Amino acid sequence: MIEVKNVSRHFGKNGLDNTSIHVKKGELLGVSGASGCGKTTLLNIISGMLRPESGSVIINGQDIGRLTENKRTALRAGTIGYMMQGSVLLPEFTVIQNIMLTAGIAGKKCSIAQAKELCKELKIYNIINSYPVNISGGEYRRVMLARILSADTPILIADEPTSNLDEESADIVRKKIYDVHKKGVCIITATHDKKLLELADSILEL
Amino acid sequence: MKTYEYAFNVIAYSRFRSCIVFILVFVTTVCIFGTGLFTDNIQNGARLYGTTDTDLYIVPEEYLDSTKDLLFKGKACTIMFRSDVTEKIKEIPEIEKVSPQLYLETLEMSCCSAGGIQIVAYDPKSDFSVSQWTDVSIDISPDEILVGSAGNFSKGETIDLFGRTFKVAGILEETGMGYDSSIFMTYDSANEITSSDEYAYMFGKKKNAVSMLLLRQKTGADMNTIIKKVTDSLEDSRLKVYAIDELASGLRSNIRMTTTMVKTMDIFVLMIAGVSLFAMVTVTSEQRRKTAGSLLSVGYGKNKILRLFFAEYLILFTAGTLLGIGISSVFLFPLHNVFKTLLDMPYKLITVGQGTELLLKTLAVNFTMLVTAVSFTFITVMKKEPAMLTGENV
Repeated sequence: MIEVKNVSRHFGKNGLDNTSIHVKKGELLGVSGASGCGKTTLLNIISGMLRPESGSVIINGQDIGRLTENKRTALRAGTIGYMMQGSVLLPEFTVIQNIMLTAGIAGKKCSIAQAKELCKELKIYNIINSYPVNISGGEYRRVMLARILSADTPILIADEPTSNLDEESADIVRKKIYDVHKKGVCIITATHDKKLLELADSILEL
Repeated sequence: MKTYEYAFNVIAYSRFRSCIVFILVFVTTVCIFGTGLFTDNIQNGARLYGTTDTDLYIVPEEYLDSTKDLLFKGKACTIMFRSDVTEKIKEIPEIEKVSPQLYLETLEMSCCSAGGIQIVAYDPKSDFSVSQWTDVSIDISPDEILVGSAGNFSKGETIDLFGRTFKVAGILEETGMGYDSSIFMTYDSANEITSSDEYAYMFGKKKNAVSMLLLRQKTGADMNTIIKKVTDSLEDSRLKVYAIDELASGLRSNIRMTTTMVKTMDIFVLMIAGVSLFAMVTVTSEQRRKTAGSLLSVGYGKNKILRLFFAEYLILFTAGTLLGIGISSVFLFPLHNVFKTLLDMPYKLITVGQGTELLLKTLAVNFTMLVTAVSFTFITVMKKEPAMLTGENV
């Protein structure tokens, strides 16, 4: 499903060097390594958010390096759900609006009821009408996960989904990722979380 | 996501940023449209000197300033001298027409006053000045009057002046000068008033008086020759002849100074507004970078993001432009006559065509600013790879 061949991209001394991976449909791949080793760079390249200096990324038989930027963007709408590491919720929209918005962009019919159900599962139902600036770090990560899951994409890329979460919140996130994995979604996650890595079918150490 | 729903959400959430952009656009609009309309009206009024049919004026020398005030600013005053020089002036061959006018004490000065309106008495047979501003016949009956455009009277209305009732026979078109706030009656009517006992009791006997003689030269006649001949005819009198340009020169320089001052101030304010808008767009580009990165990460296309930014700015620019035009119009249209009265210079509303031109100019400047702001934002944000926009790359 995802094939990364000899991909490199550098930012000063840090970055990714000549990396290759192969992820099959329904597989959960954990990516670990020290800070600055290129985990986020790899995920950015796979999701088409960054162009590699060399190498190629093939998703469902399509070399995304050959796609125009618009087509790569469209790929993220319908095929790849990318949960980034930082704060990327739209501050002008409430939690539920942020979730619905992503589903809408992906062209998925996610009803308010479905979005609320997702929020209940991730234990963020009580904050659905809050703005991102008013929620905690743990809640923020779960909203980001809910936002991506609402798009119902066959590939999920999650960058440090459990970082800075308390154990209870981390458990909720791990469980949800595992549930999605069991439904056949192909997942690549960069993480330092050993419990999450234990759920992975394979681990790439950078 | 509906573009305008997004835009309204962003505007409501980012109130401070939105308010600043809105205010800057409002200020720009008022500078271009509001003050543009104001100075154009002044210049439009000033242009009328060239279109007046009168070439020379004869007034008592000591009343020169009052004459200027009366002619160009509509300030009511009383000027009187005996009319016996009229015949001598008529004999000068280079003069085509001589028309006397009499300015009666204003209503403000009389006991039945409601406001200082100048009464101008004219001779329908020789007049070429009042008739210039109306399509209706100026040969009105003794109980009829004509009124200036700023007089707030309507045709057919009756007005009591010095104990007599007059009917408004017509309204002059806007002249931009003192005529706009004046009431016009025939010399016969004025003579009846001034010879009445009531008038004499209040203001003294004033029979056969004129306030000003208006002269029109024959085509091709030499102005200097006429002035010399008229001056000779006026020897031993306290009267003096003035060419229209001589009367208007001081005022012209005032108008030039005022419009230059207003325009300089405009340029200064416009520059501040432009720089502020540029600074605002630059400062907020960091915020927009994150928004663009976030939207790109979930598959929202660049063109659609451009539409979102454009919609947000379009709403703010439209609101600022409409309010700027609205406020300017409220001050400069319904209060037009108040301005005219308050200003010490001619003031005439520009035509619909000129107004439209000014409006289009304002819209063009605002639209250019809008496109520049959106383009700058978009180019600054979009020249980077999507991952770089969110600041997550390693």
